[in-house]
Amino acid sequence: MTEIEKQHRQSLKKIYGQWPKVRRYLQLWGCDSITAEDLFQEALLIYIRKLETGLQLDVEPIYYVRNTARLLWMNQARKQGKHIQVPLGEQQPETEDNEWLQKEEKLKRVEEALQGLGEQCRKLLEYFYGLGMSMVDIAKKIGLRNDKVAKAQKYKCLQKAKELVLLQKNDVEFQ
Amino acid sequence: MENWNQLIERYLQNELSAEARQAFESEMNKNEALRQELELHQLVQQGAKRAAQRMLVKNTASTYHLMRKVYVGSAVTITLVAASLITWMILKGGGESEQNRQNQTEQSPVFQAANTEKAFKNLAVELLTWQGMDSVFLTKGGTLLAVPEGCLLKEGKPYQGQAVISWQEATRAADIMQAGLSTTSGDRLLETQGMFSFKAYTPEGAELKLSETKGIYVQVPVSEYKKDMQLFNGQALPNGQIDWVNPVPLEKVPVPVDMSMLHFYPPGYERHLDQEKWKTDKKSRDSLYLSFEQEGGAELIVNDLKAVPTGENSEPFASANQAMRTSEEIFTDNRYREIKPGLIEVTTYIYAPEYLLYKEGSFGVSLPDPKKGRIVGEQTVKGYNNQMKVNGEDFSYYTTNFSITYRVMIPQQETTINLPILFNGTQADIRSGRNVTLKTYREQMNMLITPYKDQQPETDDFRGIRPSLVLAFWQPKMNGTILATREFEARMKAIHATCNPQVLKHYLNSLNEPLWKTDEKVAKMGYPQFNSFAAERVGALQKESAYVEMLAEFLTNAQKTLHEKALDDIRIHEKLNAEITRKYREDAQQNQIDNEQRKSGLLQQEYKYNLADVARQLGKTVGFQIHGGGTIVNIDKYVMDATVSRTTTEITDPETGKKAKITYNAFGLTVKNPESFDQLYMYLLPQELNSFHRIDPKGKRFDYPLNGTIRYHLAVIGVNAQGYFLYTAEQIAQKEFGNITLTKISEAEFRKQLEQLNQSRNPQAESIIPELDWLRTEQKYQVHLLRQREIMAFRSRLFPLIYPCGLYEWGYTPVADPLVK
Repeated sequence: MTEIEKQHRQSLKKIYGQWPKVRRYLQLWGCDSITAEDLFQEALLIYIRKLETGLQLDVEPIYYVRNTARLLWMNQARKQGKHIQVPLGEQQPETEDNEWLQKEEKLKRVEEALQGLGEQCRKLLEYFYGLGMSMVDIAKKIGLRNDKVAKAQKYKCLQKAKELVLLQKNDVEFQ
Repeated sequence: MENWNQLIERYLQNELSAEARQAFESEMNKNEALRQELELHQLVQQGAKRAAQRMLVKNTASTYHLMRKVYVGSAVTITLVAASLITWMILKGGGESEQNRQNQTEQSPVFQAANTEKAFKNLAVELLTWQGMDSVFLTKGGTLLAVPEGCLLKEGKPYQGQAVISWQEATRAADIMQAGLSTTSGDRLLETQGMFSFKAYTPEGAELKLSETKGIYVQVPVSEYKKDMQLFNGQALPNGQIDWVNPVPLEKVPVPVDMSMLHFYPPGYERHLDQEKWKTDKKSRDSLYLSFEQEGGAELIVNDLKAVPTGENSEPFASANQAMRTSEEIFTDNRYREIKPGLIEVTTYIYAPEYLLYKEGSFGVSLPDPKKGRIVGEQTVKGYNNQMKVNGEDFSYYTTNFSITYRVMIPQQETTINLPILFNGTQADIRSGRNVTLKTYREQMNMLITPYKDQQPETDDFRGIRPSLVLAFWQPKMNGTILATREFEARMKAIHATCNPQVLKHYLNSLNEPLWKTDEKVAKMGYPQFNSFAAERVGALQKESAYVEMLAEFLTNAQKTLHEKALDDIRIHEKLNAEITRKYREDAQQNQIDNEQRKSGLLQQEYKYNLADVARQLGKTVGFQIHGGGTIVNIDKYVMDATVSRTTTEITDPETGKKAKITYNAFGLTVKNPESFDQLYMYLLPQELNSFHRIDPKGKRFDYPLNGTIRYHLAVIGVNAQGYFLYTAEQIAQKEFGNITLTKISEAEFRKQLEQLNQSRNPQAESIIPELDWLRTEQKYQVHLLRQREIMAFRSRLFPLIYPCGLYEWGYTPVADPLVK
């Protein structure tokens, strides 16, 4: 397990333990539990990434995650044309012009594009850029002969990935 | 473009030297395409990173969900242990053959084998030849050995052919000792009623094994039937001794009995009918029993049994409190539930014998020792009051069932409370059901708080075993099944007491099962009293499964048919009664009309008579015209008034000043024992008029002013279910007659006397016959009513015998209670 993984695992586990509360909270806002879990996971993801940029919270992380999830829900609901149900005691929060969230959203789309990669490529890129594993370790893990082979493969995968992202961009533009 | 891949990568990874980096950055400033490529590259990197981080989140999610689903318990699998050496079975068909022993020469291979391989070393071997078919042997020791076809295996396969059985038995103490046999199982000492060894060989001497599924049947003569005898398997120990292991309980074989010899009526039913000296033939008693059939779910015998959860008490509270009751005793049955710890709500049902009906009073509950518990709040007494329509009129009869609902607070450490029932403040002489045992309840604390929900004998909540269900199986067709045995007869009594048709259905549905199995099933349903039946370990009477299915269908149809027929009969009976009432009512109405007509006719007659009398007194001529309608002259009016009011009146002729008088004298009498009659009438038959008066009593008296110039015959008539009662007097003087007694006479005499009386007063008298006919109708109706009341009373006495639990749940509905928070 890498350092990064170790760091995040504990806090993720703790926060995930409070998932039922978040689910109930989102349900108040009219979100069904399946969508809620997806949004919750997304919010968690956003949270740990924000942590890496040096986020300092003055509240319990769960509140940050919860509010992020709510925000995601409202965006999604708005896009789907759904009516947002404001629960009693809450006010409709102002639509924050959340730059960070927008960026994350963009990256999410990139993630989706990358799913077009073959498994080996995907793993390679994720291990390298995501977990910061060394080429030697990656080569072992994926089953490539050595780190040099892995490196060469990385470039190929990068190229392929870029093409996919471009394709997605064009699709979006055409829409 | 492709080289940029590497370049960009190295740039981003900081793998370029300072100069190279500078060159790259300046190139980027110039080159838009490079910038874009860089951006793209970065996007990919960040996307990949994000994907990896997403994986972390996903893993956390998986772990979270997985931990919540971890199984706490695991299913218990029970493996059946294979049967021991000798199994108990019923012989299938096959004729009984005589002892089939042949003497084998000592040199024969079988004998050699048998002798060397015998289990009991020092005991003689008996050799029996088996021809391969179902056979029965009687051994020297008096043991019956039934060896069915297919019970022997040669090398694992069923052996068909001749075999030689090597049999050893040691039933007498001397034999056991001589054989050096041990009577120990491990280190436990056994009391034995016999030790047996069964071995079989082919004529060539090859050993045969007993099949584990099809065994032989061994019937051992014993001097006494000992309880808890078990069958042990003999295991040869290395030292040559035999250790007895794997005990299996013996099954008792049920004895088939002809259905005509068995009795499945509810307990007390027949005895009660004997006491009432009712008809003794089975047909009548069956018919009477069936007449108590209740409407509702026609039970189908097959396929509607819900799976009984094993090991669970699906009827949490009835178990402790079911018992049989007879018609003589007051019996109580308790149901209870714990509202909150220490606060119990109890409903005590009281089934009392009839004599209590005539005692005025009330039931109550009290706890004498406040330390043991105290009653909280009100006690609600409910009477099970049966209301029926008899002949169209409401008829109440009280069955002798009550319930008292009350709440008791008891200290936590108490586990049993005694609930004495008081009648009129003193402890009633009651044989009560078992005490409310809280320990049992507390052990079942995980069960639902409201006990009544789980226990649903039928979907319509009916508590009772309908006669059609019993009569359906009580038929010669069921001879030879487990139902036609004394053993089942004994169980039927207990089944009646449960009031739960599901219990009966279990037996009806398990015709081929050992009886003890069904006993156990029923005990698990919540009737532990059936455990004692199960302990008897009565086996099965098996039939062909196709035949059993046919029987099951037969049962279903029989029950349905009986049920429908019973209800039809009831309806027809009700219709007939309704018809009788309707006819009576019609006649009564007609009589009313006739009566009114007669009264107005009589009034006219008496008015005319009085008018003539007055005319005479006033010296008017007889040709006095009286007109109907038009204006009545003053004198007419006075006369009419006097006649109507039957009061003495003096009339003065305004023209002449002469006076005339109409006299009415008081007349009255009382009848002895007026309440013994259902109808009582006084008839006054005037000589001078054609019609007659019929007077109804007011209270206990008959009063009617008599016309001073008219002579009357008197008849007082009483009618009840017993017959006619009459008093007559001729030419009565007007006075107070006092108290008269009516004499019973026959109907013929009654009519005769009255007609004579009528005729003698005035040959032109209006016929009294329609009135007599009406009286006859009345009398007959009273007879009918009495009969109906007797029938109802009779049935109400029988009812609690047939439905000892009172048909339906008494409908406890929990109400919000300020005591309970």
